Amino acid sequence: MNIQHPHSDVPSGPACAAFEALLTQSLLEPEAAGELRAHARTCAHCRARLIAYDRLDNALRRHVAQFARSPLRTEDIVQSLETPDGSPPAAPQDIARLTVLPSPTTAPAPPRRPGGRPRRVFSWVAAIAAVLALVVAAAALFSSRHPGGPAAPNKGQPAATQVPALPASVYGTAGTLGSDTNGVIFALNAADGTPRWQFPTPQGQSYKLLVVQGVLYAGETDGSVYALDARTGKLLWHIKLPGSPAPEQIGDGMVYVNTLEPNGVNQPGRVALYTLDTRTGGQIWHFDNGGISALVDGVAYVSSNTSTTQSTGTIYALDARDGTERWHFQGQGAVGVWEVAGGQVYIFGEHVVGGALLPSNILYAVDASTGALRWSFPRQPSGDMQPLGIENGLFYLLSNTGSPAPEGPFTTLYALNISGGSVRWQTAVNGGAVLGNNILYAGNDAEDVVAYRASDGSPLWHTGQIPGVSSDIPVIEGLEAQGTAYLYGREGGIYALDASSGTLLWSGGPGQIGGLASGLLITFTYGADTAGAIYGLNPSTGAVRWTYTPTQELARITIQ
Amino acid sequence: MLDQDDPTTSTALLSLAEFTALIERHQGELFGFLRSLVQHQEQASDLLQDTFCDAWYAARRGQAPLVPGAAREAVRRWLFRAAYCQAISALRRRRLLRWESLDAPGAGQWEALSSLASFEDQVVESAAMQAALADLPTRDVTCLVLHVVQGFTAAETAEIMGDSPQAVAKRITRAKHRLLTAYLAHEAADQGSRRP
Repeated sequence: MNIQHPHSDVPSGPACAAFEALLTQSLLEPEAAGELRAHARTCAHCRARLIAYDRLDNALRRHVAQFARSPLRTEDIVQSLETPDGSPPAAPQDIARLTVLPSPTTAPAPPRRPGGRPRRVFSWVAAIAAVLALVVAAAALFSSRHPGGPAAPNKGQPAATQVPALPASVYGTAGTLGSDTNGVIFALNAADGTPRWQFPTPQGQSYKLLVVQGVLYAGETDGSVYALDARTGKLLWHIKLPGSPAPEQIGDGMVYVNTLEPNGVNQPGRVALYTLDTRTGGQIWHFDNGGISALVDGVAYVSSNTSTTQSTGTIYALDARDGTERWHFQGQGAVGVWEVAGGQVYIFGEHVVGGALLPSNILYAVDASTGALRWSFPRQPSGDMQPLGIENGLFYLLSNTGSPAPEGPFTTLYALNISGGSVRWQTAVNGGAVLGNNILYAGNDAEDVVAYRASDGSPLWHTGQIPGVSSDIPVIEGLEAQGTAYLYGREGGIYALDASSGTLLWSGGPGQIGGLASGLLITFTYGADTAGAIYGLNPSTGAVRWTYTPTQELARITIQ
Repeated sequence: MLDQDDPTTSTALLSLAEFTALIERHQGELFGFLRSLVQHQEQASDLLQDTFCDAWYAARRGQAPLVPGAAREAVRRWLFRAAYCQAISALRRRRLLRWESLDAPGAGQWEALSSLASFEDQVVESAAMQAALADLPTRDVTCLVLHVVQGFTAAETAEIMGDSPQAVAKRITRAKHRLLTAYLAHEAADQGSRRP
């Protein structure tokens, strides 16, 4: 072990104040490296630190060297570059396909509205309906923030390197609820919108589509779970579960499926978790009191069956292989895991209180090993909140805590230190925000967008009124790519801004943002009054390159 | 079919043979870089393919530096930038599950560690380093791997990461301190668990 005793060489007492500055300077100017070495000759502390860092560098090099042999064959990579007909790829793709926030591919409807909740009709019927909807939405919300990751190793499953790369595709489902007509699961070529295959289903209404390692998993409202070859649409297996299943996560050769089952008249539905063998669909283990919220490091985080009107909900940390409990954590209202990172589990508690069902939410940071609470924000539940992401050791979230209208738009953007939950910086906003590449894009005022440096909250630019954007909440979702921020406002309409200056590049464009694929910006409208459609836009101009309109209502898309 | 309104199309394009050579030259180091960031074998493979896909599209457009005769170092920086963007995008989409492959290490995988004293030490060092890297923010890991492992200067690392050289130099300094602290903590835990 080469670096196991570096501290024993470091003299006790305070560290040398010059070390960090000299090291930083030496990285910028070669001549400063000589200065650092000269200093280290006379400073035992710095000398020991340099030796320890040298050993650390060598250990890091050895560690990375283990993986410096690509498992892919060059000819396989070359083959994956060709389109199915052997022609060169149809669309250009620049290098920086950056943030996709929030995960755009799983929302069944326009995302949870950061600009404030819809005004509620306060009757018992509406309240019960709202509770049911919130349970479903909460499960979908939390799980959609952790869309399926790559499949975990499984002896019976082909390795990724054996699966030929798929061309970028848009997968979707379309159907008509209550109709005898079959729905479909379909795949489009993302480059030109041409259909690649269709698979008929009884209803075509899916809660979730999951595409992992060349297999598409879909759950239908009739209880069916399908596993299809994502390249051809060929059925691999099919089973039926009670209620309406939604494949949420993949790991350890298992697909984790939440099901929503009816629970009596005027009662919220119950969510249960089933784990299925990815090869056969056979059931492995089952958890009756909640659905999976996240799957990280061999732990399945399950949210209990709790509605937002109930005061306490539970997160269960279960061994992903067999469902045995490691720990559980109780929080306020309907709880769900938003993120697991740096040894902490970030749990979001959503609760509505009083006759007006006002939000009273809270964020918990919990020790991932023990489930012990480390900190919460705010200290007591208050107002509405929406997490945005973690970067620079900061947790970014929107809140309207302290606002005179707690059901209203978000009013404050917070950056919290992830170590203790203290506020590093905060700024007033109006509505939603999106975390880009070290930039936060936020609604500042009506029709105005302001960009902040994510690390310290300093303002970078603001747009002023954006021509053609008639939204009082100018940012709901977006993504940043190739130096361009693509934002979407409450009243619809996409606008593309130069990320460095805020200059408007173009605005308009149909639908809401789905993601980038094959060098195109993929947008969509879900079927409600219309069938819905999927669009491929030129990201430089917003011009529509292709449109796909299903014959029935578009229910869901995912882009791979 | 290329974008009709794309102004960057050049007449001088890399041939498939030249592009294949480029893949062969860089895929190992790019895979190591991606694997360090996402800590996931199969996802790193996918991102590697995506990176070369991006490069291929750019090359088909004649986009510098993916053109015949371009400086190798410029191409290398471009590829690392592309790989970095792929990894960040993947991490931000939160499609990442951290797990270790149960497959046996590939041929030669342990060769790099052959200078170490024992097999047991190799395993401990690698496990502790893996755990320590997992404790660091992605940008810290990126800085360290690009600078320490891949040999990019602070200025080049800054170019790849879209940051200023000063900020990157400061980040490397702090990341080294964090990595050392985290490494020693994990190593101590590993050694403690090995004691009878």
